[in-house]
Amino acid sequence: MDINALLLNGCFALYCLSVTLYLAHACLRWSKLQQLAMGTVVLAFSCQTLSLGLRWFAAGYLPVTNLFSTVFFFSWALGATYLYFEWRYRLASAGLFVMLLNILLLYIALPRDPTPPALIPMLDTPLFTLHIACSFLGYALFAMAFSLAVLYLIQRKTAALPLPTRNRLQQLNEEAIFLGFCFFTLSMLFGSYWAYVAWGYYFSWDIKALWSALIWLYFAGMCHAKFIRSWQGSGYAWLSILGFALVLFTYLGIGLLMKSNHPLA
Amino acid sequence: MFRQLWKLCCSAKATIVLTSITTLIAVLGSTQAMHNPRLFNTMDSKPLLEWWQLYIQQISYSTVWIPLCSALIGLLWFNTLCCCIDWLCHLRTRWKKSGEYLIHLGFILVVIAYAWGSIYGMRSSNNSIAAGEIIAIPEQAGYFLRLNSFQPQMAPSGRPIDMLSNVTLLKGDHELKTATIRFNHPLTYGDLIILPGSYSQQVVGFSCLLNQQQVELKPGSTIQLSAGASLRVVDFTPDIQSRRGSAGNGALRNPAFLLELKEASHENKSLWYVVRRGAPKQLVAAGFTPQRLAPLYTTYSQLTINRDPGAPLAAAGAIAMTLGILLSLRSFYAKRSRTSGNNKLS
Ligand code: HEM
Repeated sequence: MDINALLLNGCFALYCLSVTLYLAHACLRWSKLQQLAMGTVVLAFSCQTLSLGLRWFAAGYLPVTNLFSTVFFFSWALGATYLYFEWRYRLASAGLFVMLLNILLLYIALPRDPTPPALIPMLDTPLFTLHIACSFLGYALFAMAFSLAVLYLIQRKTAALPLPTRNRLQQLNEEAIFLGFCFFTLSMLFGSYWAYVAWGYYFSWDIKALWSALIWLYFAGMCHAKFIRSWQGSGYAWLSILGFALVLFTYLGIGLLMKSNHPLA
Repeated sequence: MFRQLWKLCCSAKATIVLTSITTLIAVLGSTQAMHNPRLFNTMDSKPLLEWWQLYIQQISYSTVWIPLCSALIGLLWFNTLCCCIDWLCHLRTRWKKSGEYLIHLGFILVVIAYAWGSIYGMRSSNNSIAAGEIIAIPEQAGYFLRLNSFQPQMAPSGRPIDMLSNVTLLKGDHELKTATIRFNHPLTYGDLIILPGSYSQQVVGFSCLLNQQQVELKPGSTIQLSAGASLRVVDFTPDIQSRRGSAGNGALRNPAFLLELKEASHENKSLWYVVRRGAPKQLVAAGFTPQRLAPLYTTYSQLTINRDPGAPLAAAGAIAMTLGILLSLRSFYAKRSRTSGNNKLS
């Protein structure tokens, strides 16, 4: 087995182990288990980062040009997002959902061919790397907001998980949405500039580009919802869930159901 | 009364409602694109207003969402403008929010830029030009483009992967800018942008053997015949039928030359030489008996030439937004660290 396959399978196994440990912590409430789970996530993320780095070095460009590599990068961004929130706020079992989502993404990615195709000149620009990296960091933060929103909605109904207070979940959700919006704005700006130098116009009516603009608009609206009392709480949580549904459909649904001319549709 | 109206114009609730409704309508409307791809796929080929006017006959309920969303974005633009004005009026107490308001300013500028480009812009694709040729820039009187050289780049499989066109932009006889354009490297001059689109090979004439000599028959060439007569190639068409009315696409079907025969004792005579039928009797009598004809190809670079007067303003909006993002991230975390001394949850 070569080093890449080892790292890929290793990080998947480690993420699975971390979920098991988080679940055990939720049932047994031993603080050692939580630390162990966190350590496993760090180890898994390190393997994933090393694998990404090696593949980047070997290909000579950030490998995000096929379904395997975009899903893998999405999962890496989700891991980074989770570690950021965990490091800042000690999320504890709130991380369970994000890790489950991460495992699901890796489960989709792993059976696919990881060999990156030769880079066509159209994609051979730093704007491409910046556009994709910011876009997936934005997606990962919206996924984080989705997880926090689900936890917010179930918080009162479950005593099984040691969850943060609703106020705290709402606050973290707002942070995830705001950060996600910032990255997504940068992604849109890099993408628009790229479209301008590649096609001669900075806004395309292609379905994927249009839906990305709509996601941006939607989350711009959401950035203001926190200033309005009646839109806080459950309303905000549902908006986050709907927003992530839009993100998922733009990322996966459009490629599967509709015809798009976007370079990575 | 005025105060209430102003409050409504600056209302963040209105922002949420407008963004949500616009998203909803555009999401539902754009799924119509699936049912009418032929119409929607043409949307990028023209500036929005021109596209709308061009396809107005085909416009049905499936496109109603476009003007509807445009109107909603217009309202959102007004809402954002009012918010910015309100912020400026209270700048002394709210200057710490400069980052957020730079994002708002960026949005205001980008919307104006897009509207401007959609009304006054120009998009033209498939401008065929061969090396050494000069073409006029569409809708830009006095401006011309010269192709100095063209080189397609091939993948090992033989598939073209890039096209390098060395072009010079001219204003009258004056050279404005020369650049080699390829994917992601256009030539820009003011609001004009010139990019590689594709390329094609077209037959421009034939080479043949005439009196044991290799000659080229293409527009502009002159051939010396026996007994002091000469033959000038006036024109060439790859398909005589399309020249006579039916539409052609440049494919070699029934090629023909328009020739001018000059003989010392006679008046100049114009004659059609349809290759498949052979040379007319008068030309044969003058010594024109071509053999072993082979087509002569010239490569044409097909360039996209667009003009968007809103592009510099959109760039200014993008810069304002980027700066705004960086500043508002800073103020967001400054506020967080002020309001929550202890970040840890447990
Ligand atoms: C599509 C256009 C808009 C975009 C992209 C946008 C974006 C943003 C962003 C990113 C923030 C920062 C949110 C945060 O701190 O979490 C913000 C804050 C804000 N926006 Fe907007 N916004 C838009 C339109 C508007 C409009 C129309 C209004 C007018 C009501 C408005 C009023 C505000 C206010 C009052 C704040 C809060 C500033 C503060 O923290 O004091 N925005 N906006």
